[in-house]
Amino acid sequence: MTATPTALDTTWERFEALYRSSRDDVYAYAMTLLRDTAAAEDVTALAFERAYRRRRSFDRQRGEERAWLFGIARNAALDELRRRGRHATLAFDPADHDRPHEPVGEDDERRGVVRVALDGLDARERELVALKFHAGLSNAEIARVLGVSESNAGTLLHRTMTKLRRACDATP
Amino acid sequence: MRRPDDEHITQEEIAELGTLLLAERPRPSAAFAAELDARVAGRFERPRPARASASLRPRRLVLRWPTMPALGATAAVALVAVVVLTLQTDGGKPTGGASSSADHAAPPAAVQGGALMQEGAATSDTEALKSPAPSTAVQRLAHLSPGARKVERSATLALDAPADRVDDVAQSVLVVVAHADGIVDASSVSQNGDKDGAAQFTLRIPAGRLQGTLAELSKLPHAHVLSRSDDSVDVNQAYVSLRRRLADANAEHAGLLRALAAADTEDETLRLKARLDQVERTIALTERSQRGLNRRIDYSRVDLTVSSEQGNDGGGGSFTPGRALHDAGRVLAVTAGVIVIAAAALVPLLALLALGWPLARTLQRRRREQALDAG
Repeated sequence: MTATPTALDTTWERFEALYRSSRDDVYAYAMTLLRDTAAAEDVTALAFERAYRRRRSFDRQRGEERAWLFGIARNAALDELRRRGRHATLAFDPADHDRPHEPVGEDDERRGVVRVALDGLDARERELVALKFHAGLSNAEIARVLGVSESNAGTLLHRTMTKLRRACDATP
Repeated sequence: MRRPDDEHITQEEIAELGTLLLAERPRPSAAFAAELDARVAGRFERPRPARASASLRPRRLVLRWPTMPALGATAAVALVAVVVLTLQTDGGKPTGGASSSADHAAPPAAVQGGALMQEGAATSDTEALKSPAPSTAVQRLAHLSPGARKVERSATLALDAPADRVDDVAQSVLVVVAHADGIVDASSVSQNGDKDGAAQFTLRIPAGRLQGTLAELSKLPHAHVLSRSDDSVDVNQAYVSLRRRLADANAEHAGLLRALAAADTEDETLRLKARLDQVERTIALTERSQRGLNRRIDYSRVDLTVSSEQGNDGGGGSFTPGRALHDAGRVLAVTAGVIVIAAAALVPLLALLALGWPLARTLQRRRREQALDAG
């Protein structure tokens, strides 16, 4: 689901290919950031709807389609976070996480440690992890989504991973 | 997951963490995936189902930043166009004639009493001025004085003509006056090439042909009426008075002649002759006055001016290629002026937008990202 569509004849076909390649990635990003299934689904649907409405305004010279799409998804997710802040903060419900399956072995235990460490990161750091490892964006694409330079994006990501490793080490 | 207590994470550790994170990647439910697939296949034509975060609706139609410059530019251009066109209209054609003072409701008693009655036939409607019909008050006056009452009429007429046509209009005036058996008391015609021209006439038109002649003068080729006024003065009392004085003088003159024939002494003869001379001078003066009055009654005075000072090259004349070319040039000049003024107004606006747009985007991004810090 990470292959980027290339030259397609129509904007609709291009959008459809983008959707097919990015649907699960956008959802994973939104879910990691929002930690709420319903909100993540709404944000995902809204992101694709907005992208569809604006598909003719996409300018390839300003970046690849995935970065453009995740910029839209990010705005939708941040708007959702702001709405929560204005109204009521939704408590994180671990049951909302659609985990592939529950950990049972040693490998699963390590994944559980990572999951707890990830939940301990703040929202900006979780977003970086989500964009890199859940959405599969390159550093250049992350930089475009976040509005920072590519080197700055790499630095931020490195710091986040270092912090995540420490959090994993600190997990008993 | 225990690692050496170093500050820097290695690429191997990042790869290991990445593998674990990838395994923890959330996946959408099959139901949601199917629902979204259907919506995409339907190109988002169906409304989205209500969910927990119902606030995530498509944006309402509001003025967004990208539309603001276009709207602002359109409004600025429209405003400038309206102002320029308004100025052009105000500075263009003259607004008809400056109407003479008028007592439109002059009562018949004033006419009968010999009072001055001015009828303001000039109005801002130049088409009405071209009407050959005499003014209502003049008609009323003519009706009230069918030959018995003596009325002195006069009129002023101001025409407008292209600068290069003033001479033609002046010639046409003379033709009309000659056709009406009128008299040109005075005339003055001046023309400065195609730039400027003017003509002034003092005319005497037979009273019975005054209205018809004015109508013809109002419809001269290449000219249109700026203003027109008709004046009427009832001089019946003055006329009767002169007639009476003349009759008295004639009667006295006849009596003096009879007395002179019967005079016996030289002194009486001399006295009667002296008185006779006085009476004859009185008769001559009275007759002169009566001739003048009759002339004014029989021939109405018309003061006619032809001017080109309002720049009427594009005036109400007929269509000519030259005039059309002139109009086209004027339209282009006005259009160019509008564009220049609009550009002058828009350049600072666009400069502000060019400076403010990145700032606004940055501020909007920061405002959104505050949600990350709050969360």
